[in-house]
Amino acid sequence: MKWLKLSWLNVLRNTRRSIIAVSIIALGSFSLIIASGYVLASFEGLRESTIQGGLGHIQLALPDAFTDKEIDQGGFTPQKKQQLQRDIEAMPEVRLTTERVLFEGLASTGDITIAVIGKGVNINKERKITLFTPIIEGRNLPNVDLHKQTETAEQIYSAVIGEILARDLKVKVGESITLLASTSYQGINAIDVTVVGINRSGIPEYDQRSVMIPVSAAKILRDSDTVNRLVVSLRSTADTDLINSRIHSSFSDIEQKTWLELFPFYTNVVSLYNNIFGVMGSVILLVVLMSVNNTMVMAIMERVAESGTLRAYGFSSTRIAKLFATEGMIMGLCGALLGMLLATLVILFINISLFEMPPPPGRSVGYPLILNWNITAVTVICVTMIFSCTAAAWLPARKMLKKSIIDAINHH
Amino acid sequence: MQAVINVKQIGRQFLQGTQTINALTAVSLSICKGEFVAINGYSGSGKSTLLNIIGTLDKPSSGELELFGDAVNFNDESSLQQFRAQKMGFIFQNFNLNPVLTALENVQMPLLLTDMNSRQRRKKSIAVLTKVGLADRINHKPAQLSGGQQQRVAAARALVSDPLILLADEPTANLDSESTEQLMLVLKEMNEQSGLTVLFSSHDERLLKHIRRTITLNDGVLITSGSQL
Repeated sequence: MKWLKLSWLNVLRNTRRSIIAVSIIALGSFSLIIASGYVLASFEGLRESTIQGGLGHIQLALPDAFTDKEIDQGGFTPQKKQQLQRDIEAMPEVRLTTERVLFEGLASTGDITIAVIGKGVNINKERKITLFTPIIEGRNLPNVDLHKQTETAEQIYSAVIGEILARDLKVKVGESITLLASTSYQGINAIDVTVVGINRSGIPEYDQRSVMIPVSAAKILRDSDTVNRLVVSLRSTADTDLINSRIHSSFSDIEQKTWLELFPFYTNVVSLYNNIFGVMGSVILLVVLMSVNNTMVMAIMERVAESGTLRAYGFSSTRIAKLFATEGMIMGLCGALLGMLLATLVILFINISLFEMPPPPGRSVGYPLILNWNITAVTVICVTMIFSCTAAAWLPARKMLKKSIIDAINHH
Repeated sequence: MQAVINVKQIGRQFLQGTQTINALTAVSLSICKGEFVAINGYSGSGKSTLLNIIGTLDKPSSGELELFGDAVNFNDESSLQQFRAQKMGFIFQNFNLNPVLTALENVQMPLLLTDMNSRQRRKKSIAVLTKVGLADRINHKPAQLSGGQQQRVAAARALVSDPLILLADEPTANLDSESTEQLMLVLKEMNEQSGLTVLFSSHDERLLKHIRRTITLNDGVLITSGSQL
């Protein structure tokens, strides 16, 4: 405590210089926390929008179905699907499971025919786990309760299609289109569905091809009561690996993929952002280090004679270097805390204000600017700042203390 | 009487560019416990160099130094630090006080190396400051004190750890007559009361009346070593 007090008094010796150094450290910490908040929010946004955009946390299918289209024509029988859903939903980390029937085929109005990628969904469950892309015209698929046998033909034969697909097919809400797809036994089947809604994902490629119909309609289209995907939604994305391995050990006759395996682009984005953030962080840290080093070199050079006096009184060079390092640490601590406080307030303000950002490449709609305040990132940044400032003071102090005591005492 | 300082054939050379300067040449002398000694000589005569070597702040080029009967190992910095902290006190020409600390805090500095708690440090420091006549100035910072008062704070700092030897390099060079007189009275009092060995370098004529032994150097050579007690 006695050494800490002494260092604190020395920090206050040249208040203006210390304030400038602390301000630069605060600015550096602030910049890094804001940048990390943006990057982490981007990671989280990409991850959660991908998961909630339809992937779910884990997808289950027949072995090799993810790579072999022929096998993917088949799927889980109603009994197998029921068993899987019952056992997996019994896990406390699992929110729910839902079946999907994925298909590729054609959508036609008679005059115009376009290749589409479709999925049959249990709309009741899908609503709970998927952030549907905005319906810009009409409405979403109607709720269907197959168990109560209350499904009407109107409910079954309905579809929500992408904005660009609707435009290309020249169909409007309420009009009918024909869907053609391969059946599970390699035949061809077609059904007529009514377009009940038109949606816009913001991804033009998706909006050109997407068709969503009730799972019962998809089963009719494929002429099979099997479902080729079972989607597992978890309460927390952090549990993905745990549940994935638990499912793997419980069911050996299925293939499973996590959202990360289904969306490897995420890893590339994380890697790219990490590289950018690493370079930017290094530059900011370097500027802060140079500033603190400059401040400490000035402080140290002013106090060479004083250090010589302390050494004459029996203070070791290490003890004196520690005093200087503590001064650096105090400035680092003050700067990091100030930067953290400012960054926290700014993050709070931005998150409350919900500023609209322009659409990113490949998308046609913007998104609200959200910054993350992550305790680990903030701690790492603050600790790095404090450690760097301590080192920036320690190193020149050690160099100065190589002077002989006599040279130090007589230094002016 | 027992010699606490024994200088044996000590020489000190400095390199100045390619030229070797002999600051001290084979100086030998002894100083006993409780002596009050001045090292006299013109500027550049080697006074400060001799004082620095005796204070273990500088390493001789040749010869040997014995303190309290033991030869000093100048290569053992750790032992030297401990020795200086426990047995030596220093007063410098420029006071060398920490400007952000009060007189009391400056005096407490050497005690930070001891096991004393803050209350003990404070009590001891106030007692020494009172002895040097600065009881009413303990919370003043150096800038708020006169040159003489600052040097008395420096003297208090040198005395607070109860050293056995006090070394002062030109302690009165920056002081007026009154301050010089006050400082010398303090040092003499400590010397007489506690048997403190005082050794200082000076060519200040005003100090002559206080000095019982004068060592004179000229161009690094011992001219007179004065009479021992």
